[in-house]
Amino acid sequence: MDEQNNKKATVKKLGKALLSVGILAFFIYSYQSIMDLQIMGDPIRQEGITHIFQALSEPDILEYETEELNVEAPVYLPCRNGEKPALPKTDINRPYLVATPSCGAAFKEIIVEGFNMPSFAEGPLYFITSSGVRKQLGVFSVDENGYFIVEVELPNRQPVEEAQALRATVSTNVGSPEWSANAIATLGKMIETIQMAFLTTVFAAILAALFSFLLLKTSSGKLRIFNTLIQLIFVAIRSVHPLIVTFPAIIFV
Amino acid sequence: MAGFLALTLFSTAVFVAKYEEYIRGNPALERSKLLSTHLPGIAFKYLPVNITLASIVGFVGGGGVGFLLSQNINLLDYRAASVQIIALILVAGSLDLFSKFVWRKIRE
Repeated sequence: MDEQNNKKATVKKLGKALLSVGILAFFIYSYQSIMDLQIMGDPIRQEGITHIFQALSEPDILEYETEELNVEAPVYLPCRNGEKPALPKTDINRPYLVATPSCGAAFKEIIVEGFNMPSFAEGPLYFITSSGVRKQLGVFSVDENGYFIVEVELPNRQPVEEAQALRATVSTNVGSPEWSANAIATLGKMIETIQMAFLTTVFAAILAALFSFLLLKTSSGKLRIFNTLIQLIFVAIRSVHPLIVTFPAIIFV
Repeated sequence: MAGFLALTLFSTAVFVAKYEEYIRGNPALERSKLLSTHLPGIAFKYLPVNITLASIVGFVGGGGVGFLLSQNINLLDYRAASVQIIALILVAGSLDLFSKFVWRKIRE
């Protein structure tokens, strides 16, 4: 009798050991086939992920009305022979741009400085043709004293006699913030989601109470087979994510 | 409506398992008390989970906030998608904490 018990215990121990080894082997195998750390180290992917997280950290909740400030300076493309281009007098208390030199051939690098601009503003620097078409040359960011300096390349355009313009555009927020359209839409849809979840929970709670008492009643006696059948049906329903059930349900309703 | 049907089916199946387990684990409880407080309490504990599930059925046309979320993600408008994610965290998170509090009161 004792020997038999010992044998049983040994078999049990062996079974447990085998099971542990099996689980470990499955873990290692799964780890190797699922975890691909090399992909995560790819710099292009990391750049993309950084971009996504940056966007996620700036939620589009509030909106401001914006006001555009355009500051212009004349520029000649190309330089006129012999004579120095006449520059208009600028009011030094207002924002203004200075281009050095203020004329040049296509692709010439020029330096554009801005003065009295709104502090810490950022914006695009455009080239405006005599017909009013604009082409972005670069971007600038203003320091705390309202000054910026950028080096840009003049565009490749047909030579024109009259002055064309460099334009720095700064858009500033005006007035108090307002909820963005996206935030308002989110609120409406969120309420819809809460309503759906609440209704679902109430209906499911009632149905589940009925079924669970039915199952408890039939758990012994003649109706055992009925009980098992319902249990199996519920196990089957639980195994399928509601997302998958939604597809046929859309066609149904 | 489609999302509602699918979710009701699924959560009924989940609740049945939870209810049965709870009733078997607490055989001394009266049936009236079970029906009036304990079983609804269990259901309420699963409301945050249902909100999470309800948010995802919008991805396939079940309605709700998931519709906006999937749209914004597909348009790569992560700044807009971020708002929906924050809304979900706020709503589901606060309900999660609140339902836990309610359940503790029920158990006392």
